Amino acid sequence: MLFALWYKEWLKTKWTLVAIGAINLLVAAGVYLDLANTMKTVEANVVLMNVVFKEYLYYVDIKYIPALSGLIYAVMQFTPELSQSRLKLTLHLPAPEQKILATTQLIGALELAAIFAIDYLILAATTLAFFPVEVFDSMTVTVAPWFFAGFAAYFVTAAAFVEISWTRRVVIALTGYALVDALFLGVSFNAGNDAFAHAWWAAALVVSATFLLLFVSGFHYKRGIV
Amino acid sequence: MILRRLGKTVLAALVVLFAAAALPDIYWELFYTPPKEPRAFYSPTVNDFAIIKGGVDGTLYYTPDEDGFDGDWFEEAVPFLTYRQLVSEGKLPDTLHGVAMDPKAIRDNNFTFAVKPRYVRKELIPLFPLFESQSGRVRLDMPEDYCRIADRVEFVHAARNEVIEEKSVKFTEALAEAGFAFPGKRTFGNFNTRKPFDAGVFAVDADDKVFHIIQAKGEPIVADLKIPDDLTPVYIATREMELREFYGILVGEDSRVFMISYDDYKLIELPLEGFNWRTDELSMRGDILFRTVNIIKKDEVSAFAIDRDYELIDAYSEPMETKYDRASGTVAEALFPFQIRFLTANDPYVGFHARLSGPIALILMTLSAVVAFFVYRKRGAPMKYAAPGIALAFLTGVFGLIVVAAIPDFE
Repeated sequence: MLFALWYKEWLKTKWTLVAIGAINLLVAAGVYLDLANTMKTVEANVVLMNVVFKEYLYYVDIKYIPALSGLIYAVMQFTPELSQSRLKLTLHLPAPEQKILATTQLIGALELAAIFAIDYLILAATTLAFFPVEVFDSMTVTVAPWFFAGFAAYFVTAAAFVEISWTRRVVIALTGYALVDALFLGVSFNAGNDAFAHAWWAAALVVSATFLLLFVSGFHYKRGIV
Repeated sequence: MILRRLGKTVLAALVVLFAAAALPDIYWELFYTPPKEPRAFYSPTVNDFAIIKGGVDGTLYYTPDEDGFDGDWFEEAVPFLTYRQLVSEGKLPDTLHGVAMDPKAIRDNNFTFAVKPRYVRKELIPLFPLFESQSGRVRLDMPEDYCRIADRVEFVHAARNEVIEEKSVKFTEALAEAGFAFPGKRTFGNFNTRKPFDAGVFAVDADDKVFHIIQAKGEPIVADLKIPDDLTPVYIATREMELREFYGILVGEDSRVFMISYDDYKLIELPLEGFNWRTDELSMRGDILFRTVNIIKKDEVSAFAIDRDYELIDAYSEPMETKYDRASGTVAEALFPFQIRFLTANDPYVGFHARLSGPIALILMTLSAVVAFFVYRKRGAPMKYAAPGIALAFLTGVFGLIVVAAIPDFE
């Protein structure tokens, strides 16, 4: 049963996955090309000076891409389910409701994780090709919350979509927006690029917890609790 | 079932957390006007502090004893700041306190240092350029390599991105010989080429001792500052000045502040009182006659006038209105039982900063609980389910009330 669910989700989301993956790949490759081009026109020690002391974030183009990806993926995955109440049928299959919801959401999370992993690998390879390992450490701490924001956007959008009461939907959406927004804190010129250096684990914990929101929305949806 | 319960708790917690961050934020955007911060300069003409307090609605000029001065008075009271203007108006005195007022000498003696909590807390990417200090060139050049002081000294060639082995070994040996304990902690310096010459860097070793490292004609010159055992440095700011009287200032874990002098790295403690680098900003301005230090706290600005022998001449302090001294602050305390911020001015890093309100918040907290009680009664919820919601509304006030209103079956 669950395998069939995996297969159904795969059929539904594969083109979304390809489209989102392509956008991510293009932006990540753009980061490499931009930096490679900069290194050809500006001396390496000057570029490094800007990276270390002027907080030149050569990878800043990727900043909002994971969050946008999560948002779009959730919309593409759940819109067909909610039109004509298809999800209601799914939730009445002879399998536990929470297992079905968890599986559905896990598929999305894994597909997004695969895309984000490729993004990160490109950023890591780009950084290590041009800069010492210290810059790689700083880059990792800086981009981590941006990828967390991708998962948060996905989980929260899914929960807001499946929710049937508009009041709750608005509360979930606003709270989710505040969470995603908080994950972009502190990245600005001279404000500190590694703003989450001491709080990345807390951010990861809060984002993981948003996985559970869909169970609340799903419960309301199946029973029509407004 | 348990997952749904957990999900509901997470939702309630997130709503409270982000409401407690967002609502006060919106409130302060609407009702906060920054206070006027005074800055005190020790004036050689008035022989007292000349104080300037500016804001969007005009600037005040005064001394500790008298107020109502104007901008022209202030300009003449701080000749070391305004000497170019005074020269053009022919108002610069010939001598002050027996020292001839020569514009070049004034310029060469002027300097500033600033220490802010966020400067001390900020950890930069641990790489730095070690300039060639005796290149024989007039201008400093950016070196082609970057230095790291970890388990040993390593120079990484920026363009090739590889370690330059020979130079790394040479500097590692020089540091080890001087008694440097690897791995190194932070390194401080003036990492730009816009300075008259290069005075090297100050590196803190594993035992919190400070070493001065200079590169001269490719060779390392390393000196142990031999700082006292009871001093743990947390921050060093350096400034290359033609004066060559001091390298910079050093701040200790215990908030003592020292000048690092050229005279065998002797540390000269500044006669300050009440400075705490964790919360206060320090701004130091030096001129041909005095050093004036302003310490800016949340609720007070104090100033210390120090002569060139680093003896205290005069001190002044003035209380400052905080936002909770005003009506808007009291209203905020009444509205919100607590406020959460993820970023503060004193810390470059995201963290969790909660501020609890005073007892005045209890009014709205109680009211929230009463409202929650009637909301549940109207819904016909049994007390068993209503109790946690009412408790949440009481403990978190308006933030909890959002949860009660938005999640009908919150239990």
